[in-house]
Order: sequence, then C-alpha cells, then structure tokens
Amino acid sequence: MKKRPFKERYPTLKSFLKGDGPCHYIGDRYIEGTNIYDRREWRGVVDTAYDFGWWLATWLKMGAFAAKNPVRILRAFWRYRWLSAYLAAPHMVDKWIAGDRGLMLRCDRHALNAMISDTVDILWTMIRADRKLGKTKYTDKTVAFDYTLPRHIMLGFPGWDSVNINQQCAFMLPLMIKQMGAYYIDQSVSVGIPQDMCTLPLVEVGVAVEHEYPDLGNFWLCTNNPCDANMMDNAVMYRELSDNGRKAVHAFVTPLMYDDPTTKELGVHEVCEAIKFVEEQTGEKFNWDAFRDGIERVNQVTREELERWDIYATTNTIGMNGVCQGFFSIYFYQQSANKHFERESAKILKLFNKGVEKGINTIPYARHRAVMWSCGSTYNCQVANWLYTCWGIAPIINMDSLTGHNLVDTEDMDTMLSDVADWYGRTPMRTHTVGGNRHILQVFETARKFNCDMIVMYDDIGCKGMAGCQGLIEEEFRRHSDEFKICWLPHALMDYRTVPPAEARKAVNDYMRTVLGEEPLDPTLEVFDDDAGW
Amino acid sequence: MRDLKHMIEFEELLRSANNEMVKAACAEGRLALAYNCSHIPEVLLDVPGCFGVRLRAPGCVSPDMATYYMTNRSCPYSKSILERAFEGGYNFIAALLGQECCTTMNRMEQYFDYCELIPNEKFFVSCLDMPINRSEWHEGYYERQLRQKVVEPLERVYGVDFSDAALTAAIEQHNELCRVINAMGELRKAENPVITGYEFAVMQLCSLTCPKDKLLPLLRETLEELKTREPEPKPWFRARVMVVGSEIDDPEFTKMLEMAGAIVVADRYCFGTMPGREEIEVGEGETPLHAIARNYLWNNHCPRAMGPQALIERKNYVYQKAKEFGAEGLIVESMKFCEYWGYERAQDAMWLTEGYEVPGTLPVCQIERDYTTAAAGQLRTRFQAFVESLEIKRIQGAI
Ligand code: SF4
Ligand code: SF4
Repeated sequence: MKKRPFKERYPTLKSFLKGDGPCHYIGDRYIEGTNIYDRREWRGVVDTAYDFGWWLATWLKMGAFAAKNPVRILRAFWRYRWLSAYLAAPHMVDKWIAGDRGLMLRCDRHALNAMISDTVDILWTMIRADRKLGKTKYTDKTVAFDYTLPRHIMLGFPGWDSVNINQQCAFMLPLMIKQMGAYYIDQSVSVGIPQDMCTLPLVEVGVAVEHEYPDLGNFWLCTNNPCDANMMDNAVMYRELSDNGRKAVHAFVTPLMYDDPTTKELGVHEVCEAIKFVEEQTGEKFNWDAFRDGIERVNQVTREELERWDIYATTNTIGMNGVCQGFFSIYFYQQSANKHFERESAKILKLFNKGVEKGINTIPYARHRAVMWSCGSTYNCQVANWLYTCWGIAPIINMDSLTGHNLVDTEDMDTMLSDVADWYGRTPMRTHTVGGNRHILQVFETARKFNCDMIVMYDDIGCKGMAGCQGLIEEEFRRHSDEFKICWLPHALMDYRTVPPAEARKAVNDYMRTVLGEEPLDPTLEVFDDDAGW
Repeated sequence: MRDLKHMIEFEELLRSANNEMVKAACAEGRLALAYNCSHIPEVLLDVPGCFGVRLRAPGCVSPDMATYYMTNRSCPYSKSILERAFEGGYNFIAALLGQECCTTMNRMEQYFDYCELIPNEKFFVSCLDMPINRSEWHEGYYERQLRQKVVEPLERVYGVDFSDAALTAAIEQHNELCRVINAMGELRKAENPVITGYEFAVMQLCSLTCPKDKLLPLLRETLEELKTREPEPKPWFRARVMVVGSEIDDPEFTKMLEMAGAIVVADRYCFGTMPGREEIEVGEGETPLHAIARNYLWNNHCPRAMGPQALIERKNYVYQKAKEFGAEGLIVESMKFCEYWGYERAQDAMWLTEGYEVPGTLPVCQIERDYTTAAAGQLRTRFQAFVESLEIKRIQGAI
C-alpha cells in the first residue's frame, strides 16, 4: 500500500464523506505487483456501506452454495481445478465495480447479483448431476449445451435442467483468476493444437484434456457459434463430452450469413431439428405453451434492455459500467428466461428511470463517450472501468451487448420459430464478426447512435475473423477520423501472458498522451504492475 | 522412368493463374469464373461459355499488401491469393464465387469487392452459406443456395446458360475428367507405380485451374502413355505415404516429400483428388443442379462438417484411403493460423495413431506449413525422419 496524505486524497470533508472526486487514487490500494486491494475501495460513507453489504452477500451466497452438500462440493473442489477459481469471485466483483459510485454502483450490483446467483445455481445444477461425483436423480435430467449456444429451446421442456457446460468450467475462469486460463491453454497445446488459435476454445479444450467436465445427462448439443475456432473445439472435445460416444451429440447449427434472407430457412430448420433431437432423447413432446411463456419472459427482459439503450444513447445516466453491462447482456443471452435476470433487470431499469428523472450524471468526469468494439478480453475485462477511472473514457456500449436483442413475435408458431432462429444466429462475438464486413462496420452507426465521440477497438490477437479484416478497419477508421477518436486496445482473450494487461493499458496511455495530449484523471492507475495479480 | 511427354507443358500451366489455356479460353470470349474452396462445385462453373478457375498464387513468398489487410496472423494461403489479386494476377476473371466457410477465406474474398481489385465493371463476388449438417433436406438447401448465389447472379449479369442441357454437358465433361484422373490415380496403388505423386499432383492441379475441355486431350494422352510406361526396375522410394490436410496448391511440396524418400500415393487435401474427383450421377427424375448439390454435400470431408457421424466418417475416409492405396503413414499438414486444420490435424494424429473409431492404427507425422515451401530445410528433415521411422517400423514388422 502506498501512503498518500489524507488531505491530498480528500481535500474536503465532503469529498471524503461522498468518496467523490475525479481521482480515486485506486492504484494506491493495490498490493504491490498485483491488482488486489489491500483494503476496500472508499466510495464515501453510504456507498462503501452499500457495497460492503453486497460484498458480504456474495460470500453468503457462496457459503450457501457450499452448504447445499458440503461433502459433494468438497469432492468437486478436489476433482476440478477450475472450481477453485470461484473462490476469487469477490475479487472479480471488486475489479468489475472499481470506481463505481451512486446509481452506477447500485445498478452494477444488481446486475452482478443476477450473474452470481445464477452462477451459483448452475454450479450446483452441474455438481448435483455429475456422475463423476455419484449418480443422482438429476443426472439423467440435466442437459448439456455448448457455451455459445443459447438454451432457449429448453423452455419447451419444463422439468429438464440445462447448462452451458463450458461457460462455468472454462469461459469464466480468467474473469476470476487470469492464470487459470493460461493453465488450460497449455493443456490444449500439449496435445498438439497450435498455440496461435483463439484462446477461448483452447481453454475449453484444455478442460476436456484434463477430463474436467462434469459428466451429466445423456446427450449434448454443440454448435458452430460464434466462429470457426469455437466450432472446431466441439470436434476435439467429442470424446470427452460424449463420454467416448456413449452420449448422443447434436450439432445445432446456425447460418453464418444470418441476416441474408436466403439463409432464413436453414436457421428455422436447424431450430426444429434441435427440438426434434431433444424430443427423441428425452422422450417428451415439446411444450409449445411453456415455450411461448418462457419466450415472453425473455422478451420482457429484452424490452427493458432496449429501454436502457435509449437512455444510454440520449443521456449521461449510464447506469451500468462497461464491464457489468457487457457481461449482463452476454450472460442473459445464453440463459434464456431466468428468474434472477428477470428480477434484477426490472430493478435496474427502475433505477435507470429514477436517475433520468433526477438528471443524474453517472459519468461526471467523462471526457469521452466510447463505444467498445470487437471481441473483448476476459482476463482484462476490467480495463473498461480503468478507461474511465484513469482517463475519463466512459464506455457507453459494447459490441457484444448489441446481440440477441430481437423481440420474438409469439403470435404463432411460425413467427416464433423464425424469430428464435434469428436469436440463435446472433450470438456475442458473432453478430458483428461474420456474415459480411458490413456488420463489423456498424461500429460507426453505433457510435453515432449512442452519441459517442470515441471508438475503443479491441484487438484480440488470436481472433482470425478480426485479423482478416484488420486493413478494412484501419482504412475505415482513417475515413472516419474526423468524426471519431479511435484507440486500439490489444489483448489475447484468455491468455494474459501473450498480451499482459499492462501492455494493453500502455497502448491506451500512449494514445491518450501523444495523440490526444490528455493527462490521466487518476495518475496512480496510469502505470502499475499487476503481473502477479488475478 | 521416362519423362512424360506433356509434363513440362503441365508444369508450365501451373506457373501462373492466367496461363496459356486460360488466355486462349478468355480470347474465345469465355468467362473465367474464380473460386477458392471445395464447397463451390467446379462443375457448375464449367457450363458452356464459362470455365472454372480455382485460384492459386504460384511463387508468392511475401504477401505484403495482404498482410496489411489481414495481419501476419492470418492463413498464408488466403493472403497469397489476395496478394496476387493486388498484383493484377487475376484481372481476367469475370466473377468470384465464394462462401462463408472459413472466415479468413471469406474476408479475403470480400477484399476483391472492397478494394475493387478486378478491373471489370461487371465483376462481382457472390458468397453462399454452405450447410454444415448433412441430410436430404440440406441437399435441397444447398441446391437453393447454389441457385441464388451462383446461378442467378451469373444469369443476370452475364446471361450464362444454366439450363439442364448446359448442366448435363458440364457434368459429362466433369465425369470424363474424373475418370481420366482417377485412372491415373489408381496407378499409384501398384507396388512400384508408373506415376509419381508429384506428376499426379501437377496434373490434378492443372485440372482445377485450366479450362477442362482444353486440358482433357492432354490428360487422355498422358493416361495412355502411363499405361505403357515402364516403371523403375526397383521402387525408387522408401515409404508410401498419404498427405492429409488443407490447401496444397504447390506441387513442390509433394516433390520435396518425394525427394525425402517417400512416394505420395494418396492426396486427401484441398486441391487433391480425395475428395473432388467423384463422378456425378444424376438420379432418375433428379435435376442436374440437385445432383451437383447432393454430390458436393456428401463427398466433402472438410473438417467444418459437424456432428459425430461426419467426424467419424472423415477419419475413416482417411484410414480407408490410406489402406486402399497402400500408404504406410500419414503426413497431416495444416496451414499456419488455420483453425479448421489446426484442430483437425491434432485430432487426426490422436485418433489415427490410437485407432480410435477407425479399424486400425497409422503412423502420423504432423506438420504446420506456410503457403510456399520456403521453409523447405526444416520440413525436409521432418520428412526424412518420418520416412526413416516408417522404414524401421516395416523392418520390425509393425506395419
Ligand atoms: S475471439 Fe474470435 S476466434 Fe475467439 S471465440 Fe471470439 S469470435 Fe471466435
Ligand atoms: S487453410 Fe484453413 S484458414 Fe486457410 S483458407 Fe483453408 S481452411 Fe481457411
């Protein structure tokens, strides 16, 4: 911990009591060489107490999870290395809400509450059904979906549980502990898969190499979403996830040219085929009424999301920060109707509306409103908060927040299937990266729509789809350089070793100082070493 | 063995995409229709008045412009094609029929449009969405995609005739080509073949990149020549191998492998004959377009086909072809940065060496390569070592 005179940190009593000011000296709070707080962030009396309450609640939720069946859960911890990452969840939350105050803190906490509650549910759903920990009555009634495949069709099979199996076991790991992603990447490489592939599927495959997927259910739905790499990982995980061919596997495919009218029939056909497959496997008829009800509930959350977009676009009441907003949308996208998201989304919208009524500016120190484009990082997702706390760049909307927001017309079966097919084709990391260059170039209309003067372009060095259009983007950026400030933000999605967070920050620092000639809001965050952090 | 009469001419044809035969066909007013991927049925582009050209970029070693557009982290095959387009190497083409198949290739194809690379006002790029799953329904979908993305645009822009009669003629020509090429390919099964893997690769590459009607007379003649060709008194090679993997449009790759002591007896790679040289049968009551779609849907063993059935089938396809052609080992290659083959290569090696879901085991040598054989030294050493290991296995009676 670095010592800084109290007076320097809080020039007035009011600023201390409110924890307010353009500079939070967040960097002072990190344990040397890490991004781990040595003491909690001071957000003023009320907000610190509010945040502390939620922090305790997170631990309580985790405790309640452990209490469900301590022996089984302990065995799961013993068996699955990835599970230990969840012990760092409270730290992840701290990273995700760094700098949050007032309304934004509240909205983000509600969003996190949905995600944490649901994660706890899913972890338990997996563990209680896992054959490796002992067969139970849930084992046969739980269905595994690939993590990039939304589970909406399961709404038509009430009484069946489903999980996106590689979401909790793989995707989320570097969000909590960055080293965890690297570990599983190395496992994939050890069986001959080239290291220069996208690191997300490499992590997924690494978990399979280690035989660390829970063994649940009797069938599995895989997908070509969102990209070539994620499609191919299904092939190499076949043995593990099908239990050497003992479980049925269905490829739930979506068209790549998803908004080309000629491909619509394929999208619908594949939804029907997937439903048929689940019917065959479960021996149950698809329940259209339950499906419609579930979809209506999804629609409600989508409507709320769309209302929030209007607020983002037209006001400074940006109720959710860049990280929470992105993950809340992506997470919900996969889950379909879900009590936690439905509950929290409604609350968040209420808070937003209150903020608008009162004219609350949640980004008072913003110098730039930014759209965050392309696939973002996991191990360095908190960089979106850092952009604001360090440089006053407020992320207004993420590319991946803008997916899966089509309302499903539930009027009749055909319209419902057609719209659900659209939903399935428009996944995060896909809507804007496949189906033609015009999708990636929607960045400009999006920036205009959300009233942004800046584009922060993620540069995932493993993403082949984005590498392929680099020159196109560069040229279009030059064409739009009078209209937008454009900054690249490099990362390697799941592998912090390839592009360490400090290197990504340096790219922004250089741009802000040399191109825009600006000074940081919080100089303690400009350059710091977090290599040994999580 | 005595040199084949037309070999130098064939090699000459591979020196440039715009070779003498292509030039002659264009001079006759025929349309050169370009494509890049095995998912685009070449036969559809060989209707009267047109001819298909699978794009290659011979000799492209430093794709600088393409690297600016696609970074140094994209597949070098796609980049080399783009580079050659920037150099004006494909100025003769009338249209590019692409697909959203592998994203890298698709990006490359979109640059033809974005950068206006072809100086022809009527030039266009049209991409289709290939099915990933396979069933009777998907045959129909594929057929409709072909109609909407290939047939209709070409009819509209150039007035190309895709009548059943035109398609039937194209299928007949395709089938004849397949018969000739396959007859040559069969010769590789012999213990001491009268054709080398290199010679075969050269002719197969010509068949993908030249107007077929112009090439066929030479191929027919070569087949006759092969029938009476005397083999070497003793096999000149030390091991028989099959090559499996992504785009290999450089016959030097095969030559290098053969100089290392192996003969390539089977070619299961993009630009190879397995698959690709299957005759198309038009069923009773079936339209020629449907027959084409059906054929290309089921005879494609690309790693992008999903589901256990396709997965297991394609491993068995490799295994069976290796056995049929007497390959003792597999060279499984992938282009650098290729996601399809990066994964497939690793999995092929695991499954085939272990004998998982295939009837037996096969030794595998995995390699990652660039577009040209520039890193030849390193590869040669790998190949030599693999050939030696196959020899040792043979001596020990393991294969
Ligand atoms: S970053 Fe790119 S390659 Fe990786 S999962 Fe996302 S879309 Fe696929
Ligand atoms: S080698 Fe791989 S990346 Fe390159 S075009 Fe072929 S499939 Fe695509």
